[in-house]
Amino acid sequence: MRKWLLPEYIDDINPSEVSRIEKVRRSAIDQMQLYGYVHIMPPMVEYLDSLLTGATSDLDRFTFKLVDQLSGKSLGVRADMTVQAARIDAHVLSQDEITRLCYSGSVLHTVPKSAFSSRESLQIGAEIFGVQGIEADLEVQKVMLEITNKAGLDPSALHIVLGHQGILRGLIKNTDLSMDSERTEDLFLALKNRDRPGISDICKGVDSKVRRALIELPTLTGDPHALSVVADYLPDIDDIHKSLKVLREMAKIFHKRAVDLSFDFVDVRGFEYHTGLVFSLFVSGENEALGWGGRYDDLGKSFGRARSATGFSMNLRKLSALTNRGEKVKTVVAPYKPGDLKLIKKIEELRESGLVVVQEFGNKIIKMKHMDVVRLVHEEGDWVLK
Amino acid sequence: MGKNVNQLTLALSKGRIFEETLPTLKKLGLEPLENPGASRKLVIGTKNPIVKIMMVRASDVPTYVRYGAADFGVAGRDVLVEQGAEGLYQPVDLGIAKCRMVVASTVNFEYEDVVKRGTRVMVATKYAKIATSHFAGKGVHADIIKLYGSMELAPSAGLSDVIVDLVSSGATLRANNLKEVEEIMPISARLIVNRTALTTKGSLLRPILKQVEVIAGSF
Repeated sequence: MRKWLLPEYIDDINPSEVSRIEKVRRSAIDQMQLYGYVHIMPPMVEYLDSLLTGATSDLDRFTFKLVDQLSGKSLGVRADMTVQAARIDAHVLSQDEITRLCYSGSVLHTVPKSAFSSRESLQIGAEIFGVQGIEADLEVQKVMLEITNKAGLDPSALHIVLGHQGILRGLIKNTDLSMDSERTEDLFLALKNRDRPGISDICKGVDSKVRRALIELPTLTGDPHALSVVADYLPDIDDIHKSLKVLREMAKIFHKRAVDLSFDFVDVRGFEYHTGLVFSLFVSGENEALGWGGRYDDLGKSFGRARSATGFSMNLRKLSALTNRGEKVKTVVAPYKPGDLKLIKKIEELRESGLVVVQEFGNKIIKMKHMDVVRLVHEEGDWVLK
Repeated sequence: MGKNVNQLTLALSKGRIFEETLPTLKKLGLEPLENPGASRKLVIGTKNPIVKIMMVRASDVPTYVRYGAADFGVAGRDVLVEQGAEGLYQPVDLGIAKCRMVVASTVNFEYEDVVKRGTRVMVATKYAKIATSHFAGKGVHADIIKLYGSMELAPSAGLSDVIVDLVSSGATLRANNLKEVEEIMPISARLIVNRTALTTKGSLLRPILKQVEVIAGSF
């Protein structure tokens, strides 16, 4: 095997991309901190039981597993950071007031999550614990959109998709499907694929109103007017009324913003800890979601403390790739003359002023593509930039 | 192609799917400006200037749509089940290019008996995933031999006990002294849609999908 080969869907990030990612990351963390989100750094590996808390088979499938040589227990490499933030809120901080946490770091997936994904993905995000109302959902979405704004994305290219898990849960709770896990799994897959003929087959024998709703809801995906017509398709179920009320309140506020809004009432998520309002952020011309998030009120219970919770995560690498590319780092190239005290002093001054100064050793001339190079040259007894 | 936000790209394959999709395309006002059978061009305009047709291999249609190189396409259920429909929406059964995925054996082979006894079965097929899952579901241990064509030869040549393949009229099976012993699933062509395109190009794509649903009359 060629020793330089990297595993499939694992790659190096080149220098110019790293500097762009770092710039966007810093600006995002700063933005989240302005809202009082405290920066946390959870570990890359944890006991598997803890990492997979409240999750379904999907998160399990995406999580790399290894055996801990010290304890003999199974460890997992995190595939998602939200569960870690929930653990920190429930156990480490353990406070009753509102907690705001933000994070950035790598997550690892056993298989790529989507067509162009790396298996090591850079994630940033924020989570807010202890607030039941939609003010928390609005805040995390606002922070998410401001991060894209600071990164230089055009707001007219952004698309927000809202959904509510209460609608599907309400429908399924009222059928015998909730008793049959294999059939529910088939139904979720058919809903995920908007496979309406498949949904129709799986739901044979189910209450006719619920069946009609499950078949028709996928047709409303992406429709900006979906919210005004969806009630016509839905049976009279209390959970569903509550979910629609939340969506209507959100829509009212969103219409004041300049972002394209649509709805997805059958948004079947990968990592199934979401319980209420969910959202995704798309960018025109891009094949995958840039950001996603929503409510997960039940997750803290598994760590011993039930807390209302909502938050968002974004793909940091994708966000930085969508930002302005051509920017080069201004770099001063200086010669190496160990006896020249004037030169040494000048270099120190330049570095203190925040400029990058690189010294040339021997005859190797520095020509780096990602740098905007200025040379430090000796002229009339002084060192000047040329 | 698919990245242009004001343009839609439809992925189709030559042959039966194209021929049988043509009447629907005409009703949608998406009649191709050239005949792909006569032209060597792989991208063809339609009467609707915002929609282009991309001609690709039948088994590549889901890949083009999944990766967003095309916004929507028409693919057989056989290809979708075999490759997996991850990352794709498949909202409409077009009810065209109909056939069946079946198990077939030589006329003298006692298939029912072999299955009952739980004997290992040698299966020659192009559809390894479908065959594996079918026999696993029956509790039969199957050894899969992957072939790329002329499956009907395999049993009489001694390569396998049975084959798993698409059958339309059954004439090819009969001509090669084979009989259909079990149907695995009915096959027809599906309209498939890129997930993100429905959000980012919804205003262009949704009216077309609605019309297709009415034409296909699936519900």
